[in-house]
Amino acid sequence: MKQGAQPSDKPAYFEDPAMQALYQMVLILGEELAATREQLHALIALCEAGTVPTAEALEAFVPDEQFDQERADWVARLLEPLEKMSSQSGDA
Amino acid sequence: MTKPTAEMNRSTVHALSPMQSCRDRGRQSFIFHAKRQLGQFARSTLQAEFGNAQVTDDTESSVAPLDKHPAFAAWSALNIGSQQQMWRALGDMVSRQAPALDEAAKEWNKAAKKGSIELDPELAMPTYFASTAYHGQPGGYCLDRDSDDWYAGALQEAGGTLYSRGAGTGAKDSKGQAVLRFIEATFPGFSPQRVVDLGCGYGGQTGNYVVGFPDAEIHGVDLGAGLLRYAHPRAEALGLPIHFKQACASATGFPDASFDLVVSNILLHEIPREMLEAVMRESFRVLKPGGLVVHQDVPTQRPDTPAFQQWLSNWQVAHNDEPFWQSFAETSVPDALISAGFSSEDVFESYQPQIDGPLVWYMVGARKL
Ligand SMILES: C[S@@+](CC[C@H](N)C(=O)[O-])C[C@H]1O[C@@H](n2cnc3c(N)ncnc32)[C@H](O)[C@@H]1O
Repeated sequence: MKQGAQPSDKPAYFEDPAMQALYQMVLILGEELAATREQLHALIALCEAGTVPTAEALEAFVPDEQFDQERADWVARLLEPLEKMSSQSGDA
Repeated sequence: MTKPTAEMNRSTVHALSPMQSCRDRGRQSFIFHAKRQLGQFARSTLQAEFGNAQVTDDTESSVAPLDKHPAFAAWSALNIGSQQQMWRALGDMVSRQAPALDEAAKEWNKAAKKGSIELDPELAMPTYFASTAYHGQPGGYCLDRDSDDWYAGALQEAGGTLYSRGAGTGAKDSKGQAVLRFIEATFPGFSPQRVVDLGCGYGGQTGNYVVGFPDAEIHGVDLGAGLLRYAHPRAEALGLPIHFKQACASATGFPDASFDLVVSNILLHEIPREMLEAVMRESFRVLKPGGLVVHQDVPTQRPDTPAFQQWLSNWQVAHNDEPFWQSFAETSVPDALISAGFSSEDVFESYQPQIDGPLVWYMVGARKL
């Protein structure tokens, strides 16, 4: 029986390890917010349609294209500050 | 819960696909968009910084110039972070449904009529395979905890899909179909009777060869038992007759000259050079005269690969558990084919555009004449 392989240790990207931890935390928060946005959107859409938002109805809900686009947009906004780090931006 | 949406999943939905809950969809979409965004950032800002650094810095190493740049550090942390997040989100989705998926696997194993599965519990695993968690997949492809364990296969399908979609591959792309299109265009009328897919994994590509060559007998070979235990009921549920066998692609155990077509999909960049050479020898051995071998992979072999692409390859090695990515980029597959016995005039290489999206696939192989 094989327990499998585990990912290797990653290099340190920052001199201060707290920075790495912070990036990780931001990602986890973003992911959690994304999950909540998804549920909230389904909830509001069901209520607006006059459907009782049961657990089943929430899970069966499929968001429309506009919501797909909004998702992409807010993740782009979240990562926008990265652009400021380039030497061209004058903020580096 | 819903089956994965087209946006998130370029592979076929089937009885063993985990259902995506509303929260799963939110988490996975976040990871998908973050990966796309980070890829764009690499191609624009990081590439420009890389260019600047090269002008001002004449050190030998291709990784050095960006190492100390804050944008590089931030990008690396986010890139690796999103990869770790991806595995956690997918692991949660699969594990939560393990009992139902277990039932589905048992049911389709019992119903199995079309194909088969042959496992070899005594098979020795090459060291590289047993110790690599490819692009961070927890447990790697070798995970095999008990005689019912299909987890590695479920994760490989879900992870491979989200990972490659995040890296820019279009929703409609299929590596297997790319090989079929290439064969159709290059060897029109080629109609094999027996086909083997080396490093078939969860069998997602293998199914394409069943569809493409409906009269042929299709075999799939992989080292991972945990992959094949998922591949087999998956194929049965989809009505695809495939014979899966646990073996090394360099020693398949099939008789000499027993196949008309040998294929592989993104196997080569995940194996060490000696294994690659051994796989070419095995491809030659099992092919009938007139047979064809086509290996498909990432296009890092291009001789004119820009320095920044090289740098990204190195990053995969150092940061993303892809230990052979670089050695693959530096290995001449045509030379390996020729050393394996194919004549140089029968060896070919080609870059095929993906059907959906800006990327290309590398095709390399030979006709055994
Ligand atoms: C990136 S995966 C590709 C899976 C599948 N061909 C696809 O495209 O979806 C590479 C596969 O090669 C398998 N593999 C690695 N080394 C192997 C070897 N020596 N013999 C057979 N399979 C191998 C791995 O287990 C894994 O399933």
